[in-house]
Amino acid sequence: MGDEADLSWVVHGHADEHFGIPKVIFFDDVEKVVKEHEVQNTLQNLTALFQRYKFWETKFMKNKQGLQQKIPDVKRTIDVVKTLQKRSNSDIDEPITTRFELGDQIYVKAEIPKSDSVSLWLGANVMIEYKHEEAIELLQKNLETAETNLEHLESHLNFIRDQVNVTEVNMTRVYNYDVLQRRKQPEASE
Amino acid sequence: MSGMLKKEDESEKNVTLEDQQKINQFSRLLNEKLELQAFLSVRKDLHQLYDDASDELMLAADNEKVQFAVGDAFIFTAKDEAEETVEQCKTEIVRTMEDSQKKYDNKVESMTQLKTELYAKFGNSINLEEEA
Repeated sequence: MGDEADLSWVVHGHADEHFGIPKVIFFDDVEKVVKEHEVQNTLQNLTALFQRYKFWETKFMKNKQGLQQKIPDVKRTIDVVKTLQKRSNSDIDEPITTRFELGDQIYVKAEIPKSDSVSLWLGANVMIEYKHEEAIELLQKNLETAETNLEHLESHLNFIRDQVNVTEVNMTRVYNYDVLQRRKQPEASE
Repeated sequence: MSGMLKKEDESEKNVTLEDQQKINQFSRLLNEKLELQAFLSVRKDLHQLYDDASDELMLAADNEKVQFAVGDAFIFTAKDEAEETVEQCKTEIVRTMEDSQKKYDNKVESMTQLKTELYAKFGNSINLEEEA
């Protein structure tokens, strides 16, 4: 965000536990703030701050949506490996018959011979063959990491939303204060 | 956003830090409530799907293998095995739904409490209703 507004007096330093996103100051005494900083200036600064918070909120929401998609994917993969494992531990020797998507809208039948391993795609053009238990363990770990990350994101988002609310209420109060002041001294000043 | 004071209100009550915290709390609860609502509706659809699946399975011939979706592929599965899996999935879904429903009810209760408190102080100058 390229605005140069000095926001140092509307926020408290930096909240380190939330990526250094600053915490907005709740105006205890609107009158005092307005006398010191003037209405227009205060509103401008709060608006700039508000936009920053909204920017962060959008960013974190995107990350959250990504994780919310990833978690069920990993769960489904674990299910598949478990299904294979169940079959390989059973005394049925015939191969598993499947129908899978070969290409877009094309399904073919395939047989999976009894086996005790699967290959996991690790990314970066690497694929490694694992025993079923090991594969499940690895996937489970990935799942846990994703779930912890989601929890953290949730807490950052809650923090940001609190800041959005405080900023909005601050703005409204400054605005209302100004309206009231103007009403108190009507045409007299003109 | 709800929780915002209406502009142009003449008799402004002083907003204290405590009031602000209540507003923040309310907004969090609202968010969580909406998320749970979405979650529950997805589970409900899923439950319906499994219900349909078990109905279909009942109609299938006993010696017929069914194609059961696992991951992105379908596995030819014995009928009784498929039935068992469907039942397990159903139980699991019912459990998570009950769990989420409880959480949902708790949120609604806390929200009602906060609403009472905030409306008592701010009356019409605050709007805590969800937009339709």
